[in-house]
Amino acid sequence: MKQTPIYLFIISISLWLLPSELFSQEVESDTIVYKEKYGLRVGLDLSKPLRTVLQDDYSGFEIIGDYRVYKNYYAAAEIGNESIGYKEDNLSVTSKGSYIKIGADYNAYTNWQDMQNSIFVGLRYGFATFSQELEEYTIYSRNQYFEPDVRQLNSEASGLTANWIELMVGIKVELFSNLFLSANVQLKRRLFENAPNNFANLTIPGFNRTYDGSDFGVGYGYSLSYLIPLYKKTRN
Amino acid sequence: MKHLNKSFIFTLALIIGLVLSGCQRDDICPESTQTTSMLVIRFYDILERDNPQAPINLSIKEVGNENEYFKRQNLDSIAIPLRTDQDLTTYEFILNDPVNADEPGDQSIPTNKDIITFTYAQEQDYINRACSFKVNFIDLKVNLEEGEDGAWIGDYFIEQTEVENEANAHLSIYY
Repeated sequence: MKQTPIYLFIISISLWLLPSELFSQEVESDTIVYKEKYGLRVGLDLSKPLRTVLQDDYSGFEIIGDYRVYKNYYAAAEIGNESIGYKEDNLSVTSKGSYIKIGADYNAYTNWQDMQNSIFVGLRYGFATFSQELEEYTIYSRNQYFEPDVRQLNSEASGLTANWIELMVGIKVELFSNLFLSANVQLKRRLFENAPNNFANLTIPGFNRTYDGSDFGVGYGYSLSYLIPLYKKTRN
Repeated sequence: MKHLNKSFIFTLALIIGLVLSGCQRDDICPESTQTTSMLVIRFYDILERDNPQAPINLSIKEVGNENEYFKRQNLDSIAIPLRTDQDLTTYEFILNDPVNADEPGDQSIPTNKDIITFTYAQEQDYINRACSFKVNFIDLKVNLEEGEDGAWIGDYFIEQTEVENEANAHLSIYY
């Protein structure tokens, strides 16, 4: 019933407003037992296939998964593959490769009975192995007397690696039974990387673009996932 | 918001704060960044070799180029670009260049054209994503041709064979 939450809200407010002494004698042990589902949740990031369609120089996918370990704690991981094109005024590159992110989520949201939504914070360790192709660049000169020296080399540096830590916040909403829609934003910090000789990693699969003079990066995820319930446990 | 605990609020605030503080532009090549260096030339008196001397109404033009690099300047220190798409650049140094050919101007010092060919090797250096790459010129060599009208340049000295920045002169010209 749609109106149930409104009734519940009004009742809870009115109860709250009443003097608490009225209830003091009525405290009894509550015998209703809530069971919560524990299991493996697997899914697919929706934003990456969408970007693949909409954006010429991008293709990618990501598989996500989490497993409820204990109460509000989840082990979580993402694996993916991306090809990211990146252009500046004086150079353009494409990075291609795979990444894995492993870590944990903590659900900070207290659900009502039988609901499984979450507002979570997550921590990840990310690792990517990739190649970066420098497609075109201009030798920078402040003087315009000569025509710009644009070079198309298509030189590819392979065997590159990078790792980072990532903090994320997001929400997961149960659309139908066991089917979840999730959105998150990510803040990443590069730790170590293996960059091409006399160049830099301008984009890293899983990390997105890097910033000169800063080790931070940002990202987002938007995914659909399905919970495979494995067992139920009493909430306490 | 009672259902949310403090760790979530804290994390969200931290992320927003860090994202905002990290918003510095890195897509514009700052003026202060040393990109591909120009060749710095200083002119001196051939008799008093320590005395800077500005050539009168000097014009500089690449051989084969329609446009002058500059025209009728009186400077004792100049900076000229070197080509990065090839390992040599040839310039005409025209002393007392007339305003135009029909109007010869002050002929107390006649117009005199010398041709200097600069040859070098190049090394590329990545700067950053906005400035892309610069070229360092190494092993600079100079060849002076006096042209049909004789030489106005008496002597030269290569101060630095590596052209990486514009802090000091790379070439001294005496006349």
